[in-house]
Amino acid sequence: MDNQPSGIKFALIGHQDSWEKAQKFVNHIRCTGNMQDLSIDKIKEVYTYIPPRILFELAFNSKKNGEIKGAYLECFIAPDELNIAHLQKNIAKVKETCDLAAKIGASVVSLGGFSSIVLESGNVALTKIDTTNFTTGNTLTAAFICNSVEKACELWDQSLADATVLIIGSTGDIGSACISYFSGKVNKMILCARNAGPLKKQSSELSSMGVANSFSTTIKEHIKDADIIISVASSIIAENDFDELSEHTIVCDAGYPKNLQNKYLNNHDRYFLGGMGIVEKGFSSEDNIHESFYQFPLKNVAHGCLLESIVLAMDQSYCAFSKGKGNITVLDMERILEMAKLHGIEPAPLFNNEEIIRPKTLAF
Amino acid sequence: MITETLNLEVNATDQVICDILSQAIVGELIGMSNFASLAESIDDVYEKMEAVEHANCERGHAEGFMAIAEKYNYEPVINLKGNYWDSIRNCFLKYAKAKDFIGCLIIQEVMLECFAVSMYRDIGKAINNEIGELFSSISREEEDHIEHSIAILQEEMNKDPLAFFKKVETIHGDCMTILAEWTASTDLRGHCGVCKGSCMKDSLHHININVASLRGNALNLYVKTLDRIGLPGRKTLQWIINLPA
Ligand SMILES: NC(=O)C1=CN([C@@H]2O[C@H](COP(=O)(O)OP(=O)(O)OC[C@H]3O[C@@H](n4cnc5c(N)ncnc54)[C@H](OP(=O)(O)O)[C@@H]3O)[C@@H](O)[C@H]2O)C=CC1
Ligand SMILES: [Fe+2]
Ligand SMILES: [Fe+2]
Repeated sequence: MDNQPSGIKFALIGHQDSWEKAQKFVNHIRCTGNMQDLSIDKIKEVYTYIPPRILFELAFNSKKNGEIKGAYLECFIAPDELNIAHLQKNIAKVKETCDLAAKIGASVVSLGGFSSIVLESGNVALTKIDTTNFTTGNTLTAAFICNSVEKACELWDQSLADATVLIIGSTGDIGSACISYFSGKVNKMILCARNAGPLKKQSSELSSMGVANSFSTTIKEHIKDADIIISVASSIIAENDFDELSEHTIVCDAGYPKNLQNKYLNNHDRYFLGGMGIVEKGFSSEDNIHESFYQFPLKNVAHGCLLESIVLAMDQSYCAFSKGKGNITVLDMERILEMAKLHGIEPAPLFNNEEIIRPKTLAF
Repeated sequence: MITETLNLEVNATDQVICDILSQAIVGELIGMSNFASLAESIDDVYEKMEAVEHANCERGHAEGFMAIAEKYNYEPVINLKGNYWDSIRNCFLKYAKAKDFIGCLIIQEVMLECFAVSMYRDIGKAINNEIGELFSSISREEEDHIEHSIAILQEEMNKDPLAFFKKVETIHGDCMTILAEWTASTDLRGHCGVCKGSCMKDSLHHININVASLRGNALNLYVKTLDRIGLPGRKTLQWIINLPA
């Protein structure tokens, strides 16, 4: 029986970011006999009542240490309830999932997507249960984002030193890590979030270090000034905020769910998904069930937050590498990126919702 | 005009509470009959005695609901031959006749009790008077029945995990399918034969609850109970997802 799988080193705590994805995997599991697929409405009637559980086991291959095993734990949070109104319910579900991760004996666990945000808003800096360590995975995510932005600048001939960088969600854990990284490397930074208090504080701290910056609680008016936009907000950005986006602007969307959901952006040439890594030696799940809802235009990519615990497990460095908010240092970003590289995990090539982004072939 | 609407509202609320009491009384009487049948069919004297004690306990619950219905001048429908309840009874009898003590325990103490505990709990919170209090207190008593069975079933699971798993899987298919149909948001098998007029499912909003959350919470408790017994989570997930919806 597989209720207590053995040899599990890491666990990934996750949730679906849309009902369509939830529907896909539910019907994937349901497909026994000739049962009809369930509609989203029917799925909504049971989904959030399902207690957290292992959806599948995974095996990731390290370049250095071979295969390690882990499990993906689903918290069954409603994708459209990732907001303050449902906080208590979501905290309870994430905590239950953490207990399960400890019960199956994982040594290190990534709090993927919203699960870290949910836990932190409950002011429980959960870093350990028994011998199980929890990491938000935000350090490797931030490292991947910064690396991919640099790659994008090279690809599209944008000088970093001359760039004005707009960071949406700048006061958040990942946003502030990006700021630390780009401070001193770019011309100017525009900080953006909904609450003015933390923004003001962040801005004056940067100013006192001589970093040119401005801040704003509205996105719309700053879009046209930005050469690079990094979006790492914990909610979806309004569609018309991007109306005045200039063609040359590089846009990195690293939110989960995606911050920028409008059709216009999908047609924007310089748009890519950030915070993703690629596993050189690949990974697999039982029946490759992960492919029923975890789909990207290239193989072997996964979110930075999930990959962080995998890297730590591969390295046998079982610890809460990223914890709390605002604690990510550039040094730690470099350290975890280095560790990842050692095991064959690197920042993913640039890609958008449909395809890998390749340099346009020059016409002669 | 306002008083008229108010009266209608009061009547609708009374109607749904009466239907809920009817369902609870029938459910308890089915439970009572189940344990009585079990007492008859099994050979072990201690198990026999335990079954009789259990039957008596469910009888007490039924009486409690009947008494409170009378106090509030409700006239509950006590129809043990209603569509869903009769099927559940037959399902149980199949295992009782085969002298399958563990099978009976799984149906009565895990499947039916999880639904009872969870639904009584939700109803108890929704009805703000002594009827609600009665539901809450019976819910707590039924919880003990679940606890008691978990210990026995864990032991059974440890003896032969695969055989036990297969057994629960079969019973789940037999019994939970009926419970799932009974509590689906759209009637999957026609009228239950217990509610007066149209099914109470469509009137639960009068006491600010809905059948989807009643059912969801019950399934949640059921799956958690299976988890505690030690059944594999991915398999039980599959069971739940494959139930009629
Ligand atoms: N790609 C990946 O691998 C990963 C992606 N993520 C995603 O990254 C995002 C950020 O995570 P994290 O840093 O931990 O979250 P935090 O909660 O720490 O920060 C969120 C930030 O977003 C701001 N924000 C939220 N909504 C808006 C809005 N509508 N407009 C502007 N600013 C907004 C918040 O400030 P304020 O409340 O004041 O607006 C805050 O600055 C999330 O979407 C998360 O799911 C996380 C981990 C890994
Ligand atoms: Fe009872
Ligand atoms: Fe009982």
